[in-house]
Amino acid sequence: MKWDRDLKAGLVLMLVLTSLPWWALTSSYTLGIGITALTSVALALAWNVISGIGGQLSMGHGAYFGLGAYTSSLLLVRLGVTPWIGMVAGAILAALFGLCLGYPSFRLKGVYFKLVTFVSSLILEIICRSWSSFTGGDPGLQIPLLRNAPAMYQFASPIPYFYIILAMTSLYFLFTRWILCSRFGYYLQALRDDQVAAEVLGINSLYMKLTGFALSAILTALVGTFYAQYVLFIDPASTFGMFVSVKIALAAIVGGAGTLWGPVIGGLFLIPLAEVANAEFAAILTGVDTVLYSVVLIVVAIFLPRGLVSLPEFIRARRSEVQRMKVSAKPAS
Amino acid sequence: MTQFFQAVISGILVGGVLGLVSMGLSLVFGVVRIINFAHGELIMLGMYGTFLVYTGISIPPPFSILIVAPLLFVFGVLLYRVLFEPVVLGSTELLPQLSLTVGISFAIQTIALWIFSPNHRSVQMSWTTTYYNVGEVFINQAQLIAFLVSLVVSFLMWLGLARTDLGRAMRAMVDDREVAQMMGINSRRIYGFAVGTSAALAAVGGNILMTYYPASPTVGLQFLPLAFVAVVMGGMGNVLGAFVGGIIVGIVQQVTGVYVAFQLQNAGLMLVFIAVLLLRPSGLFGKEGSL
Repeated sequence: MKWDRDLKAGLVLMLVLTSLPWWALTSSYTLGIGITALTSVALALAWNVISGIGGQLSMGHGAYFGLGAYTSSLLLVRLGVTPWIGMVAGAILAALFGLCLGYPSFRLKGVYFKLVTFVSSLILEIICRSWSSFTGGDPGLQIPLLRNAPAMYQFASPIPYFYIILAMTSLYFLFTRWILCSRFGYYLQALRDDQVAAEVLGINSLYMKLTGFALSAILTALVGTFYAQYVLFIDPASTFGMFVSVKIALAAIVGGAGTLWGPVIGGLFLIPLAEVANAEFAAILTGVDTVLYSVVLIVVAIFLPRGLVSLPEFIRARRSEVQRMKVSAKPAS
Repeated sequence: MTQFFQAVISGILVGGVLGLVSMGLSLVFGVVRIINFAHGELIMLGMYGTFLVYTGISIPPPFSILIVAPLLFVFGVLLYRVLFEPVVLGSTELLPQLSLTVGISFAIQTIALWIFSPNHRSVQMSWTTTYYNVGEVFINQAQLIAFLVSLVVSFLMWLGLARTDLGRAMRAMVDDREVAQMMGINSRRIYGFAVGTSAALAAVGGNILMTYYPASPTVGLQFLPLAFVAVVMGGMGNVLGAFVGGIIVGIVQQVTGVYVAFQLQNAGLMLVFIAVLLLRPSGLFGKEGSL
């Protein structure tokens, strides 16, 4: 991997984020926002592997998030297995589920894949709800509080959680960076841009897509376990739910799907925005954060169809357009 | 056996309304090539509109369709002109339209929450709790009326698509967009009309649902996945197929509910959905290779 601008900027951003708990995120409330934002960056980066870079739009990443969260938590609650191992089990299960779903449905075209993934996560949610003797059902699953037990993936303060998710996000960033300039990544992008042409050139499209999907599922499930251990409570709606899937996809889309920086910018921008709006206006009117969130979605869709990362390009284009209009407005001498 | 007939008949009655609503979703997908994640919210607006017309000027459903449907038609046209058009005409990419329609859906939900509060609202008519007893099968009068209305409106919709110039233009857009435009079809007008019609169909659905299904700001989310399933079963963009798809959805849901478990009725439906997709990707009535 070449030591270029992206990696340098990523390192600087990581160092800034590392220092945040000392000077900016000093209360447990602000630290919580930081953790949530980084979680959404990690999820967006995971989604980006198959849906952004590979162009196979998944609307059901809640399925993998939930599988990660529930596998590790159930192993812990029912069998006493440490979530560090449960995390691996969850990732394997998520990869298998992704492969089983992807194998038949990658033959379908874009729109259908999107709907199959959307529905797959809803099915898991319903099963999780109704199989309550095993999963805890609708009321959710409480993870026993142990306070300070690093061996059991539990810590007394939010700071270790912040650094764990920061480390995960950094690794996901490096991984995305590696994919984008690896042979595998070029194959995925070629499939996204023109599947027929890519297949003619000898790329095994099913194999590439399945690999990408499995990787994406694994990365998502690992964050699922982190979430369960951080919140210490999970229920079907907050893991497999429709909103979880939609928000994972939207963070990446608003930032810029298929790019390295898009998911990072999307996650770091949307979550703090909603949190700040909620804190400022909650007393006056509930739901201001949702409206603000939806306005951002709509505005970005209309003006920046390729996401916030294309903002500099957009400004440049606008400027040159204004320049051209000025030139043409001058009377011919 | 009575139990089975009961399940099938309730399924058909509920499925008819769902089919009507799914026709709108399918129309927009076929003509404008947008998967409208805000379609459930249009149903919700139809329900609240019906509620307001009933409490305000005491015109009951289904007669208030004549007020609510035109209003939602106008709303749909505006929605297209103001928000959909900049995204649709710019690109055919899926990503921006996804964030656009999800954004619209969230926004409408929150605004409805501000205006109507999270409480459930309903319009109770004398026929809400009246039942006919045919053989040993019970038929709810409100559901029967709703089914008949959706049958009539779907028939009118079919007639419109088959016999009028506007309908022909819309079908041409579904079949081949470029050629249709070359033949001089004004795509802007047709797109606006399609979104408007879709919103009006959602309004009719919401209107007749209101007599036996309470409205809440998030009620649309309960119908959206079902409507997706109906649209795909009928073949995406196949408007009449979506109506039949809706009825199948209703039957599968009710039969699973009776024979497997009530909570699993949607899981059974989703499994049938995935099976249909894998075996007949272009839908039960779709043309081979379309899309």
